Parts: sequence; C-alpha cells; structure tokens
Amino acid sequence: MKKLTFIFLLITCTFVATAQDSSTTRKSWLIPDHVKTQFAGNIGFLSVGTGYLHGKEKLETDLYVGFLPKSIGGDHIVSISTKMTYSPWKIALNEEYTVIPFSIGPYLSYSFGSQFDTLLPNEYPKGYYWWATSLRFGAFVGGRIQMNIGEQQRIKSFDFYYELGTYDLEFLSYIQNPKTLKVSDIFSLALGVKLRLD
Amino acid sequence: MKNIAPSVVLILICSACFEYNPNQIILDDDEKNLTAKNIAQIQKKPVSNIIRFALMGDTQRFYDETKAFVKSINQYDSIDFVVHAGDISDFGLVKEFQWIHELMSEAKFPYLTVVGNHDLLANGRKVYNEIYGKLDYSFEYGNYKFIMLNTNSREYEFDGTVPDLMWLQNQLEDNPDNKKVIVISHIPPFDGDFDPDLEEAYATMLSNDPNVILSLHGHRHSFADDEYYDDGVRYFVTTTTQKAGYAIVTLTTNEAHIETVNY
Repeated sequence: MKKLTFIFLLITCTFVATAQDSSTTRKSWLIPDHVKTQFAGNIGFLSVGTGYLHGKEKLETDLYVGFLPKSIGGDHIVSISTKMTYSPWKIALNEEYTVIPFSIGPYLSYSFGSQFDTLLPNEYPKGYYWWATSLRFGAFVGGRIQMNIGEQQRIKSFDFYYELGTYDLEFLSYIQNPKTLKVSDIFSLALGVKLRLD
Repeated sequence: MKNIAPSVVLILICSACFEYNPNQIILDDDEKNLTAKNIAQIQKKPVSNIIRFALMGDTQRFYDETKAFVKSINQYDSIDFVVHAGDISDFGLVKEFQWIHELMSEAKFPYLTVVGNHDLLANGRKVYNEIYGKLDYSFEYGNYKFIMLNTNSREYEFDGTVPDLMWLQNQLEDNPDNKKVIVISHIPPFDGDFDPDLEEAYATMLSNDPNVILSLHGHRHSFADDEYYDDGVRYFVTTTTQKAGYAIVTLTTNEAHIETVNY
C-alpha cells in the first residue's frame, strides 16, 4: 500500500512538473488557481493560502496556514484553516476593474498547541465539555474588487477583499445574550489579497 | 485607486476590529493585573466593625444575567467587595473575560476572583494570569485573612498538585495575628471534580486550624450550606449567576453570617 502511494505521488509530481513546464498545454487541475494572503479574521495575524476556483467560477475552496506571533497576539499560535467562498455576482466596471459585491462562506480553523484539545481527554466524563478547543467553525460575509492584469499574464488578476466574520462560540454567546452583546462584539474584520494565477 | 482610501481610513479607526485568533491574549493596561489592583482598592478603605462581601459566580456565557446581578448588587450601600467564585468564562477565551470584566466594572464595589475549571480551558490559564494574576493568592482585611485557592483538580488530570495543599498549609501557618480565616475556591472538596486523594487532607487541614471558619465555593450551580465534615468548618456553595442568586457574607469580629439573595 505504501509503495502504491509512493508511485502515485511520483506520477503526480511528474505530471505537475510537466504541466508547469509547458505553457502551451492545458494546465493540470492539480495546480492551484490562486494564492491568497489574509490579515486577521481569526485564522492568524497573517495567513497564506491557496486553492481552487470551481462551481461555475463562483466557488473558491482554500487552505490557509496562519501565523500569530507572540509579540502581537500574546501567544504564538499556528493554525490551519479551510475556507469556502461563494461569490454569486460579478460586475465589470471596465476592462481593468471588476467588483464582486458579495461573498459568503464558512470556515473551519484548527489551532496547534498542547493547550488545545480536539477530543475530550480521558480524565473527563463523557460530554463534560461539548466543544473542541482546537477547532473553531466560523462564517463570514464580504466583498472584493478585482484588478485585471490580463489573461495571458503569469498573474491574471489581483483581488483585494474584506470579510466580516464570526465563529461558533462567540455567535452562541451573542444569541443567548441579546441585552448585553452587540453584533459588533462578535464580528471582526479581515483584509486580504488574492492573486489569480495562470 | 479611490476604492483604497476608505479601507485605509477603516483600518486606522478600527484597529480593535481585527482579531487574529480566538485564543489571542491582547489586553489593555486597565485589563491587566486586576487582583493586585482590586486588593489595593479594598484595603485602602478603612475597616469598619462589620465586613460585608457578596459571593457570586459561574457567569460563564450568562452576560445578560451578570448585568442583572450588577444591578442587584448596586442597590447595596455598604459592601466592601464582591467575590466571583470562578467560571468567569465558559470557553477560556479572552473575549469572554473582557465581557465579564466590563460588566463587573459597572458595580460600585471592587471584585476579586478565584479561578474556575472553565477558566483554565484553551489559553484560559494564561488569560487568567494576565488579567487577574496568580491562581493561588491571599489577602487580609480587618480581622480576616482570605485565602483564594485553585481547586480545579480535574483540569490537572488529578495529578496531586491541585489544590496546592503545601501552599495552603503555609498560608494557614503564616497568620501571626491569628486572624479569622476564610478559604475560597471554585470546586468544593466534596465534589467529584476535586482530587479525591486530597479531599480528606484539605478538610483536616482546615479543621485543625481553629482560625478557619468558612470554606466558600461555586461550581455546583445551586446553594449548599453545611458543616459537611462535622468538624467545625462551615462549607457554603453559592449558586450560578444564571439562576439569579448570590450570597451576602457578613463578618463581625469573630462570626460569619450568610444570607442568600435571589433577585
């Protein structure tokens, strides 16, 4: 089984490599469609991500690695997050600019650290704590503006996006405390750049 | 380019709008070291013949109810301080501690805390350390010594280190003026989350010291009041803020009176 996996990986790598080499052939589906860099948004101080555009070019599925240095966040935390973004509308302003007024999506973020648990450790009776401290499920709405470089270019476009997001535990706190917590208490802002690749 | 200007303005006015991780620990200066600050504030006030404090707790995810508690406690004129019996937060997130602190700051009286099991989750231990201070601490006021203890044994896998009975013994011995002693912690010794191997030692330690009169707790979300081990030490458990209840502890020179309040 291990051998098979190895051979599969080897073939995959070769395939990806050849695909990258030749600009004339259609690129492999394995090569990501874009790379992203995000500031804030509860997935890191800075996160870098990559992913695919699919679903009639309205869905993006991305994987991010986020970093929060101790000097900024009070603790050094590395996290990985997977995010989906659905953007139903595109408005072309001119040849150079396109506005994508509305995006929405869910994300799941995992924080590394011995203080975070995914499964309840043995010393607790079943159901003692019902959530995983390492995993946060969240959602966001946002929008973006796209600056088109050109379909023949190595980087086809730059997108500048913002997102307003919240996550499970704070959202739950909010709905249970309508008199005390405000919507602004649970939503935070993220800013990012997307580079659409050839 | 005109689209960039508004976002730059937004960033400048809105640095607090950014959050990097739910487990980040970013605090303002007035949100740090609150235990020391509040003890100083309590001790600044001249001691009268009667000391009175409120014992409440388990505010975990009950912000509306905490607000109602503050409203209720502010009807009193002569309370020296409020003691939060632990489980300030539900998930150990800095945000929850900040929300509770903001609400508790609306009370007319300074408040002190003991750490609860929920406060030790995720980065909670570090958060508590930064916002409040040490997990075990003590202070004196009038003829009383208050010993605040971390008894959340299950969060330490019952490894025998929590509660730190050696520290407690030292605190009991370090009482040259024979002040009356009140020990306050989140989990009472007769609860399943208290290290069963340390329960008897805790109870014996308290009963062997004639100065100890009370052991106060939270965690169980209902009131309990009993001389649990029939050894002269009174064990009192306060209810959760969710159930709109707390206790008023009144201390004369030698005696304690406890009254439960529902609002």
